[in-house]
Amino acid sequence: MKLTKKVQCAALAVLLGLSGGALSGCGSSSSSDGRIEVAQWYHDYGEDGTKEAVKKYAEEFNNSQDKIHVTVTVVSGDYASKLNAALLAGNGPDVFESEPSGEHILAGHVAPVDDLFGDALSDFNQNNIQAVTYKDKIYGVPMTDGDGLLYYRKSMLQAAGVTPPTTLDELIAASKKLTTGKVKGLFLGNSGCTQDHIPQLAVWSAGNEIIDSDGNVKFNNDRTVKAFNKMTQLCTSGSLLQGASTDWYDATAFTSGQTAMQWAGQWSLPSVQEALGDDFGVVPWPALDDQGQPATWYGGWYSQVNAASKNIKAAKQFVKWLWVDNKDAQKEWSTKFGATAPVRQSIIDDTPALNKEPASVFMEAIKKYGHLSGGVYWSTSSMTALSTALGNVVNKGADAKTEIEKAATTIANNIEKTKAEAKVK
Amino acid sequence: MSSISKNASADLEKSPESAKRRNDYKKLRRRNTLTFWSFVGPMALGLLVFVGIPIVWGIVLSFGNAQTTITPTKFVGLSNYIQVLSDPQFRSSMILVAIFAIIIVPLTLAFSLGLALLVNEVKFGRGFFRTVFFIPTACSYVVASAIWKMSLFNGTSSGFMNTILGWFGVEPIQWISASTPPWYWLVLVTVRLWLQVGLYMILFTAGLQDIPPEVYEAGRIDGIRNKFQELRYITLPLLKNTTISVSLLCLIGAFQAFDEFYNVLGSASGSGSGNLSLAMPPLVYLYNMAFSSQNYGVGSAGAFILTIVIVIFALLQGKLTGSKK
Amino acid sequence: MKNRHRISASRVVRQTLIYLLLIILAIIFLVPFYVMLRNALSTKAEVTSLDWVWFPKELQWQNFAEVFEDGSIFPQGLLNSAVISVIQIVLQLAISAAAGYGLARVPYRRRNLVFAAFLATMMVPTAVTFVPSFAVVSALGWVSTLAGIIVPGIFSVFSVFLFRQFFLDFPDELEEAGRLDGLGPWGVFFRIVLPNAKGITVALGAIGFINSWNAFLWPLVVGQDEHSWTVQVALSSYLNSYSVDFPVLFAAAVTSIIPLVILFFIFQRHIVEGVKMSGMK
Repeated sequence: MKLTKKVQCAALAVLLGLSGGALSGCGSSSSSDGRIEVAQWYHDYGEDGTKEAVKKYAEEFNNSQDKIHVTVTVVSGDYASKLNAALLAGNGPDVFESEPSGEHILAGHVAPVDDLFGDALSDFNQNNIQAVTYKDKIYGVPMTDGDGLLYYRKSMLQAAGVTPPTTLDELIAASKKLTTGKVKGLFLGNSGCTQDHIPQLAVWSAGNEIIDSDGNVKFNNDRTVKAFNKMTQLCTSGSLLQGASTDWYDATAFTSGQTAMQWAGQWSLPSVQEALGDDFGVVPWPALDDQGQPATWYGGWYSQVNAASKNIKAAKQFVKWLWVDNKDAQKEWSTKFGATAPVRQSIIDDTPALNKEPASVFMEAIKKYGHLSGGVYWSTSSMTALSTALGNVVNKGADAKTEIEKAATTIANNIEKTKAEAKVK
Repeated sequence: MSSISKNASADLEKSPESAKRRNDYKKLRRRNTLTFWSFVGPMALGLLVFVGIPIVWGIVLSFGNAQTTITPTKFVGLSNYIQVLSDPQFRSSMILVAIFAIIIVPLTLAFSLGLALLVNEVKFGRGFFRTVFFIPTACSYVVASAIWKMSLFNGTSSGFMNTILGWFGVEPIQWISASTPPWYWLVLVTVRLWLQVGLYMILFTAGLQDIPPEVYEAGRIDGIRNKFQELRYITLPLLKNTTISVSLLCLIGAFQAFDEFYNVLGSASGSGSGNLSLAMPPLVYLYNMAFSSQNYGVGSAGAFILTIVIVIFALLQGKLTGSKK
Repeated sequence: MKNRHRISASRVVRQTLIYLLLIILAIIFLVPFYVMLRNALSTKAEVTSLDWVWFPKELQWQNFAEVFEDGSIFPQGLLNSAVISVIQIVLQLAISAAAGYGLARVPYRRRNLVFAAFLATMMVPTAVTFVPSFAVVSALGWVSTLAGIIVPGIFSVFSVFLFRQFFLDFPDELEEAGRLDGLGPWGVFFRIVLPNAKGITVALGAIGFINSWNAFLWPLVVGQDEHSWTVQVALSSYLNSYSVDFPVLFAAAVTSIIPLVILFFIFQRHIVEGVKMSGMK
């Protein structure tokens, strides 16, 4: 009997010990000495050092005053879904970051932050401010931006006697010519023509917008038909790299020499420079033809405050401290981890590296050829409609005009619905 | 009269000796009960908390509005079940996993039995071969998926399989991302085979070793001339129980496939996108439903439907192999 | 005489063919290990080279160093896996051995009913319980804790079954002797029966450790914060992250299988015995 009791007590103790103490890992700190708790979420950037940096900024803030305590969580995996679910449930973080989409804003989950900018407002890239503005209220503080460009191997192009493409026809020709032996000419991503931004680039290269700032559909025309047909030529030419181990957002396919050209992001610049030194150049996505325009996308990440937060004032205070006032942190954030485009002119001016090639090409492209990928009226469903349309044309030989019509209708309906259901007037 | 005898017999029953005996018996019974539960209690409690309660809670979740909460507040009848059954992605996941099971069970049986027989035939190096076929057990599905995805079945010419194809002048195949033809089947099936064939080979080896040599002797006397006849008339029938066990374990495992699908087909942009939409088994679908979309109600409903299907298939297989459990 | 020669010749041919087949199969089975090691010891360029590099020019041991660098998720993952696996097998063996002994040796009226109930839970596939099990773990406040990963996995009816079988076959005389010496049931259990159950304990312990170390779905579900990742979750996260350092990934993979390979070679016989016993289901 005694033994039994001893055993049982021991077991209970083990269980309790496991649940409470040392084995729960270095879990988040509990509320420290009566401060207001503010929870902040980031997604997992993947670049080395980003996790440490964001935690450092929060530490700095916590140490700089004694009323508010910020806890940072870096969420891995499907950040967007998890954030969405948490916001819907009403237990989302007080401060979070988002890409520019209207989803959270229109659902009323985001608090307006106009009052945080003050004089600094004009220093911010107005395109980025516009991206999170709805009915004249600003719903986020831009953190960083970035765009994409076509990276190409100078040596491979020289060897094949090819110049960097400026039109889609030139791209197709170059891609074919650069395909030799096991090396492919172009890598758009493992999904080829329907990968992420590519369908958008197709529309933009023809000189059209997809939707305008009021949510009207603008791409349902012959130019888009021509663009889609050209894309079909490109993607069925057999010169595209497929099945790479890492996707387009990682430059490995390009740096390892598996492909001569790759559509990749600005963030890959450091790793490309490290691997290839000078042996590469960058150009924007080529224009469809002489009536078209070169194109690239931009988007960025925005710091937002949860409208349902129990500590809105504290949350806003933190956001102002970090993303409006703390220019040192902002500069470090946008220049030290991979390469991104700072959203404040003063920081750009202050960073010589950004004014030299090849970084300057990225910065210029955002201004001259950049289109916002996202925005208040854009949604995942609209994106899918567009890429499905292009996918059907390229992979199933569907008629471009019909597919574009279908996509335009779907997107227009989505936007109607969005406007009707907007909880923020 | 009767009252006197009643009293008399009552007195007898109340005699000190029998009372003591009854007491002792009761004490013994109680002590045994306490002893029993002191041994079995933790296990029983554990099963109650971690199997019993989840089953009940799962039922509750599946009938409630458990979206982003694990404590639903409304009873929503069958709507979760209807929602999951009308989702084409769920339906195709069930079909996919059924096909997967139908492919992998016979293949596993064939390979593990085949290896067991082959190794049994040789005189030297049995231990060596058995070790080689069994050591993949030291690798997890994650490790194997990494090897398969990044190197063996890499879609560019830097992959192992594509290198071999290159020797024969064949263009690299996108083993994992191509939808026509669906090469990813080859990738996924071979992962599971590599990892589990060794284990089942051991089961068959044990079964083989249990067959007394006299049976073979008797067979030879009865006119069995070669290995194939031996296999057909003696070995295989005597391995029936092992075969049934192996197929059942393999089937139940196949229906719950998750690890290799999630890792081989997964991508950085989350578990609902990319190649996973090519081949999503129910468990991946349910995982997304519960932990990305946070809809625990639909997730639980789907889980029960999957369980019912597993039970049906297991019973079907039982009928096919004529098992007696 | 002639007959014997013919039989020998064909038998030799057959043996050779079988050996050949087995050797080819063995090579095929070992290819993944070769690939894993090659990748772990190569440079990035060698691993993505369009022409397969059979052996790296120089062995890149620093890939292994990078696995243990500051900021790497693997050291914590390995530690977590170690803690989880050890605690799980210790608790699992303790609980199932006790339960098996109770079911086999302690006279109790509803003993068989309890056993049948246990067996019934084996029929429940993980699929149906993993979501509500998460709910239970969440209610206990164990999400992203090692406890949440460990505790649900220590109740193995399979182990109970095997222990019970073993104890049923255990010779009565030894237990009798113990009882005559004045030992109570727990005394007999600890002093007499367990010390003689080394074989099955080691077998189940080794198999349990392997299953624990290689588990993926449950640790993924429970271990949502990085600090509670097991090595498998860490590997998976790295495999599907935005930018993967190929060779380092495989160095981490090699590191993750080393404990199991060692375990395997030390306890191979026991493990095989354990697997054979499980066939008796």
